Amino acid sequence: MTPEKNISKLLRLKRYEQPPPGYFEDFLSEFQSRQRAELIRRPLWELVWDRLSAIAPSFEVPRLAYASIAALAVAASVMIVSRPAPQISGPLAENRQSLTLTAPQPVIIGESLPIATTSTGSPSVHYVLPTRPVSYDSSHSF
Amino acid sequence: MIRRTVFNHLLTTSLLAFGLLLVAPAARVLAEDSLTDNLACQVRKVFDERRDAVVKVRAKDQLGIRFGSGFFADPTGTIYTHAGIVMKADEVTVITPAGKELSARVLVADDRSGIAILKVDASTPSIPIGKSEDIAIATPLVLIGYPEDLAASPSFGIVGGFDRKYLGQFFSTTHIRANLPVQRGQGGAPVLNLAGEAVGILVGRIDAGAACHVLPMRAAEKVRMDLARFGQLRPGWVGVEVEDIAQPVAGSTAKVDKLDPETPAAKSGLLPGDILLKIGSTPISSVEDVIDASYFLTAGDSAGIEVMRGDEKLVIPVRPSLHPRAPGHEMQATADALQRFQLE
Repeated sequence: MTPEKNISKLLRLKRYEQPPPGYFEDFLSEFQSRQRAELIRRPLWELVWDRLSAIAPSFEVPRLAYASIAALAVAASVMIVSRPAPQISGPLAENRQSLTLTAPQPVIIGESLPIATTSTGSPSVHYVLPTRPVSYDSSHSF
Repeated sequence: MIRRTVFNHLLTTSLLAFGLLLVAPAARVLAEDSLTDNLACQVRKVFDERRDAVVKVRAKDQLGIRFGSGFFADPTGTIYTHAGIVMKADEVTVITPAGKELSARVLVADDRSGIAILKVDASTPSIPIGKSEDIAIATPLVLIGYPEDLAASPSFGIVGGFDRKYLGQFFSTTHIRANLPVQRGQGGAPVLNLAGEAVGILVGRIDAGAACHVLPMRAAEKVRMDLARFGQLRPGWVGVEVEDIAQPVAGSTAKVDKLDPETPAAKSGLLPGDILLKIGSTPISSVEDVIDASYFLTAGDSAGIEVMRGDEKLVIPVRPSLHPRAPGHEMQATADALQRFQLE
């Protein structure tokens, strides 16, 4: 049997084939339920993006606005990323070095301790900065 | 159609606002960083430019060795420092930032202002003198001094106020209260404005060094001026006792209470009951204003005292005499000062 004859036979059979009762009545609702099922299986962000993509062309937002926002966002990112870390340099660094290299020495304060020579006989050392500045005038005479 | 146009405008505005919200924090962070960086740069600049003129002062007396800070006020080796360091010293040495030791002479140690003036025979870098009258609350200040046995260091702060007394004791003149941290050994250090000019000298610490009192350069220059003119200090004294009255007269509550017959004030024609309005160029509105006015009086220099007598405003010329509590006290400490600085 040639392929043409096979096809003719199939068409003759199909001519008498009928869908089950109620098929056409339920067709639309069944299609929609299958479509919903298909949609639910997609991630939410994809759904939102599709909705926005569908809506966006209908709004006439100037392209300049999108470009400005993109530029601002890029600028902000660059500024934050390129912010230099604080550095210690110059005299502060020298001080830090001197702190690490110099051994701590006892300090005697003149204002708070009695002034006397040390037991080794070397003169005591006082670093001056009083707590009370001076005056010999009262405010009631001049 | 109109609704859609309005919606479009709203959407555009919202998008732009969103963009600005995104950028604003970053811009603010950058602005703050920029401000901090600028401030740090200025402080570092002042420190780098002036540190060579700031010296460590070492004074040896019979009680031990005292260390403090000081600075060259002119290129001929004149040094301002704290009086408590050199008040009774047998030997004074200044040590430059380069480590060079120079022998110094004490020209004057003034217990009234709390400062001393030294001299070394050398050409030196110097710090220009600024106008301490121009500083105000929150003016930024930089101090350069030698904390304990450490290297010269900057401190940064702002003017917190102006005080005439502290812990119940009156200053000789209004002091600057600076909210900048200080350490022992920095007594006598220069306090600079951000232009690098000396506007004061560190004379006392507050609350363990969290803040400090600074003698304004105008008051320090009075000492130097006396020294230059007379070779000694010449604090003026008029001999007036003043009392506060409840109701101000012509804006002043300072009333002349007593006059000793032999005082310059009595000889000039001042009378008990006169209301003081001005002493020299200093306006008087209360008894405490007399402190500043009297500090700047110079013995022998005539000064006008403006008073209200009844309904009449008078200007009475007075020639102050040498302050009775400063009997030839140049290069010599008073008993009060010796006790104050624990030198006796």
